[in-house]
Amino acid sequence: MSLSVGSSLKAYLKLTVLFALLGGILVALGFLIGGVSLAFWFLLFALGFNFLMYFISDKIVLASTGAKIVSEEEAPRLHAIVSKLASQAGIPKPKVAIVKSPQPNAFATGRNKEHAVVAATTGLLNIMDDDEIEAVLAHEIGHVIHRDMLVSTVAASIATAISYIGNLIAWMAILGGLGGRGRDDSARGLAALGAAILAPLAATFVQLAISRSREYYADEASAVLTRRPQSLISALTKIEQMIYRGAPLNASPSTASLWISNPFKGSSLLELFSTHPSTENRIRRLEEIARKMGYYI
Amino acid sequence: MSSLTVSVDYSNVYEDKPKFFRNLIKVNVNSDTTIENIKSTVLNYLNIPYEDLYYIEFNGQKLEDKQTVNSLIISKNAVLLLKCSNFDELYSRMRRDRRL
Repeated sequence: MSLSVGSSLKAYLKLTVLFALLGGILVALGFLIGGVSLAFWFLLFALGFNFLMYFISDKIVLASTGAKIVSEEEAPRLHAIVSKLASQAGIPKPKVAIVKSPQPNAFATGRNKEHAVVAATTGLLNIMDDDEIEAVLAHEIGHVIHRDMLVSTVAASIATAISYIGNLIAWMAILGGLGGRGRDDSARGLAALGAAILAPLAATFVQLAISRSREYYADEASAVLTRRPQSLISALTKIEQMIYRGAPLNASPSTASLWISNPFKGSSLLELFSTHPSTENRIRRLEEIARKMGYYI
Repeated sequence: MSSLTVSVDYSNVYEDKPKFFRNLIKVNVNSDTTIENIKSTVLNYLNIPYEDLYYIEFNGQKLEDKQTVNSLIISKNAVLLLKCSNFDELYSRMRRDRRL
């Protein structure tokens, strides 16, 4: 395993395969409704909508999480840590925001390195030591470096297009526009309906798999940037304990995938349905990275 | 001496805004546990050292630190509220102590 702050070849390959899967589902659905060109128009519409969201996403995210941009005078410790990490990562210093919440958590948003915002909760600042805060924010800087806002926007666009087509097929079936009088036509109609139900589900799974893989790479970036994977292990453990003992964060549940740890998770949630890998798996990977760096864990 | 578990709502320790989700923690108490003990247990859990800035409210009434659980009519499902008396002072101290 090679370690890097930027996306590695393996990360690019994995992302390409997952996007190819999403594209494959879209094209297959396109054939079912009578032509790839219709699927293309749906994709174009979804891309247009999601890219508009991509440009205003930082404002939406700040509003739906209750995060407030703070000056250096208001949060000197947080600014100092973000400055240090941005300079180590070779990116412009992101804006810094605070969410006034007892649950320890953090997120990054913004469409690119120049418009990035890194936010931390007051709970995180009070519970973690400097090394742990640095590890958490390095994970967020990792998302900025990897352009994960762009990645998730493209994934969401394709998944949206797939769900539009799924809905169209379902409505065609309801209104009698699918299949015909012959046995073959009916079978084709049923197959299309089945695909209309299963394809959006499959697309969601692929989208979630992309989200989970980006979390692992951001963890790796944190380990490389800080040279202390143990600090992220310790921070993730503290966050996990607080989330399970307390209650969810007062933010919109639609922001779940943004945070370093899903603030709304329940213990019985299967990883397949989750935006984040389990903390257990993340810690296992970080321990692997630590061993590779020469730490004995 | 019978023991009891009370819930403390700490959702408003950093700002006084209505919350959709409540942050609750269960604290084991007995009849001679003081309000100060409960407050300090929760603040300790949150690693907030400014005990003098916080108080506990129950049924809309501010409780005195020296009051014991015995002096309250607390049922099993009682929820005590942990509140901050001065947010400006809280954030000023957090800045002073390099917590922000």
